Amino acid sequence: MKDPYTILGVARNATDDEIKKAYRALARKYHPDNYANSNLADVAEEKMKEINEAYDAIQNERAGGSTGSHYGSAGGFYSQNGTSSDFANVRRLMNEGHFSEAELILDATPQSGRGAEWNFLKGCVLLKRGFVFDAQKYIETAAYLDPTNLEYREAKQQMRANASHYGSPYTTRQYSSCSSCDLCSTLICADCLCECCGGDLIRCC
Amino acid sequence: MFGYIRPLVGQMLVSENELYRSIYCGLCRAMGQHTGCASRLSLSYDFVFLAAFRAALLGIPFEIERHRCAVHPLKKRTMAKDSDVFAYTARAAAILNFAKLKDDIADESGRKRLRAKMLVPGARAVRRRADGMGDLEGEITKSLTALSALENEGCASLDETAEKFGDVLGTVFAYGLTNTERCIAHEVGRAVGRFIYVTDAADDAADDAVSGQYNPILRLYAGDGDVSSLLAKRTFSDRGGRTQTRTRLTTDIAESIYISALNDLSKLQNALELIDFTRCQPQTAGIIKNIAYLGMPEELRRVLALT
Repeated sequence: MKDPYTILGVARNATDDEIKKAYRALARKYHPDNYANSNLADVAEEKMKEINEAYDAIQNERAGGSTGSHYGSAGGFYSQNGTSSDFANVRRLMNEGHFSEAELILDATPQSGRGAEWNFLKGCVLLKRGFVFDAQKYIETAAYLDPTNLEYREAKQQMRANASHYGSPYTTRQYSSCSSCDLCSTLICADCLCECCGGDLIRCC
Repeated sequence: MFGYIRPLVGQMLVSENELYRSIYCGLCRAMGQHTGCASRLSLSYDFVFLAAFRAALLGIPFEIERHRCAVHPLKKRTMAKDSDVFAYTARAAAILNFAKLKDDIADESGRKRLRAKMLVPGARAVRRRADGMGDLEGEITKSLTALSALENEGCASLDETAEKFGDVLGTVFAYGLTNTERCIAHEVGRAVGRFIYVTDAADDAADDAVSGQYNPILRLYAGDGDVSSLLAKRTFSDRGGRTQTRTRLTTDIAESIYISALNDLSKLQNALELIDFTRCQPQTAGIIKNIAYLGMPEELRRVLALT
């Protein structure tokens, strides 16, 4: 077996907190939810197993005894609020995981019955199949037809949030930069130093 | 082939850019040796990514040499040394280009068809030198034919058509690999293929609206209806930084496509994260990540005229 510290990407002398943080980040990365409907599910599962074993090994080695908390599964994409719905049976099927049956019912709905909720559910079913481009169109249509509905708006926001996370952490590499905050605090520090020596940099404070 | 898979040079390390250029020049030279001089004309950034990805996945380092080349005769250039990775990339490029041209002749009309007809004899000669890999050609042709069938019946799903092109590149990327590496390469190829298909469709949308040709994006958003509401005069800056005003997809649709494309690309990220990048040169890993996480989104933004 490979060195558990190498697997988690931490130094041998890392603190328990650092290890937990590294483990959580990796577990989030390889979580089965990310690889649902993917051919790589097996590979990811193996990787996940490796991470779990490494984490357990370190925990045991450090005689902590506890195996640590594991990453919980994310909630479903669609909410199950109790509002009366034209498509209650479709929602029920989707909650039970019967997406293809749900899609059959949706596809059989006549054009006149295809309102906001139909578009939303169709979008969710397509998303489950990994059809993001088509799904996006239906979800946006749903949010457009019924702008007051929180459920549709949240689904639309979720797509946007996912998009903004693409490429992170690579795309959010921090270069040492000077923000306006840094600038202000530096100036105030300089002012204090000047005042110590009897001068003044910023008149008003 | 299309040249949409390129790095965002401004965000690259200098050493990464140097290696990237060496891979480009090395691949060009290797194509000349493996599949003949004519094949060098078909080199595109997409194939440089394919070569860099293969090398990263298999943990093969690039060795750098200095050579002169006909295009730049005065100064010697750094080039990555010929290797199995380049031999495979050159052959795959030859087969893919030939299959695509044959497909264009069958499907396209007008200028694109004429161009394909003119290039086919050269591509056939190149293809003949790419010995072996006959099974790859069969599979690529099968997927491209299935794609043509979907396009001819006016498929209203962008995902279904894109998936067929994803199959093409998935097969190319995974060729000759086994087990885990095969799975990862197939998934990366699939995601890249889907991205190329969508980007190409977005790039062609305005032209297709005029000529009345099938375009999956116009079809998805307009159905059988009028496509003119999907297009608008937009001002944007091109690759050279010049400002242009042209007919493009409207901002709403462009944003919608961009967001779904990034959602789709999360599959690429998931696949890339399973690669053990510690086995390859850090610059190679940097190139792959730059292209996937910055270059590809930037290219789609350019095509969609989003700033």
